[in-house]
Amino acid sequence: MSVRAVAVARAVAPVAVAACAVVVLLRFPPGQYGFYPKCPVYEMFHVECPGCGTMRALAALLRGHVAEAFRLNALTVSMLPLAIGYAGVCYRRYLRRETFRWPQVSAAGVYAVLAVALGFAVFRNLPGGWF
Amino acid sequence: MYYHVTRNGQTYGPYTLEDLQRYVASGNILATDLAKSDEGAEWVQVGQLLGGAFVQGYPAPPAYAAAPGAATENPPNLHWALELLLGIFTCGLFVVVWNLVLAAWAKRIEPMSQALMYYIIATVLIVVNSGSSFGVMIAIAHHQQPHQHVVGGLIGLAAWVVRLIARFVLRDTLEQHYNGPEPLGLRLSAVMTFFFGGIYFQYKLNEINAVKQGIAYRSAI
Repeated sequence: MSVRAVAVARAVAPVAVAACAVVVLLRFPPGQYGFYPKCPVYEMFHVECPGCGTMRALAALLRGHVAEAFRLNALTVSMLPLAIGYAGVCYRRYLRRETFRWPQVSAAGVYAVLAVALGFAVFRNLPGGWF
Repeated sequence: MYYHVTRNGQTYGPYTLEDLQRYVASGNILATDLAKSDEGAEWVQVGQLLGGAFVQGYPAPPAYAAAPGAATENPPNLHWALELLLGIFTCGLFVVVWNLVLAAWAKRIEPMSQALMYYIIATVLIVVNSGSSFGVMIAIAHHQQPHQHVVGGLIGLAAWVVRLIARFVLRDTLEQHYNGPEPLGLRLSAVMTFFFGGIYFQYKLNEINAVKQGIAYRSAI
C-alpha cells in the first residue's frame, strides 16, 4: 500500500467510524433494539443520569425529530454543537500528525458544563418530569 | 485565542496573548521562544507574535537540564471533569477506554507495571458481560427480550473485581513513579481510588502536569 493510500485511510478512518455509528443508529433505533449499552446508574439506582436518553435523542435527531430529541435528552441536544466543534478540533489535530494533546478548554467552562449537567440530572428526576 | 509555546522540544500552554505579554515581561518566556495559536499551523517567535516589542534585549534561551531518566513522558492532559462528562454521555464507555489509555501511558513510564494487563482483562470481561453472550445475541436475533443468565452475572462480578485490582495496581505504579524517578510526592487515597478510579487518577495527573510545567519553566530561566 502506497504512502498516500495509508494517509488517506488514516484520514478517512474516524469519519468512517462516525458514519457507521450513524448508520447503526438509523438502522437499529435504540428504542427498539436492546443491544445498546445500558446506563449503569439507571441499572443500579433507577435514577436518570444526565446522559440517559442520549442515544435515543441522537437517533431522533438523525431522523429529523427535533422535538422528540429534546424530550428524550434536552441537555445532549443543547450541547451537541459544542461537542461537534470540539470533535472537529480534535480531528484537525489528528490530521496534522502532531503529538496528540487534547484541546484545552477553560477549567471554568468545564466546571460550568458539569454543574449544568448535575442540575439537569436533579430536575429530570423531580416528580412531574420537568425534562 | 490560546497560544502554545515550545522550547527545546517541550510544549507549554495554552496561554492567552495577555499571559504571553506578562510572561515575556517577567522573563519567564523569552521573545525568541516559538509560539503557535490553536488555529495556526506555523510556529513563530513570541516576539514576532507580540509585534516585535520584546525581541530586543533578551539573551539566547538557556538549555534545559537533562530529564532524570528517559521515562518522564507527561501524563495525558485531558481535564478530569471532561473525562467525567464524556463518560456520562457514553454510558461509561469513554471511561473504560480512557483507563486503557492511562494504563498504556503508565506502562511506558514504568515498564514493569501490570496495570495495563489487568485493565485489558477487565475490559474484555465488561464487553463479554454487556451483551455479547450467546444467549443475549440469540434473543436479540429473534426479537425477544434478553434475560440475564447466572454466568453473565458471574462475569460481571469478575469484571468488577479485576477492575478494582487494576485500579490499585495503577495507583501503586503512579505512586512508585512520582516518588521515585520523578519525585513529586504523589499520594493517592485508597478510598478515592476504590470509588472513582481513572477519574481520580486523571484529576491527580492534571495536578502533576501543572507542577511539571511550573518546574520546567523555573529550571529554564
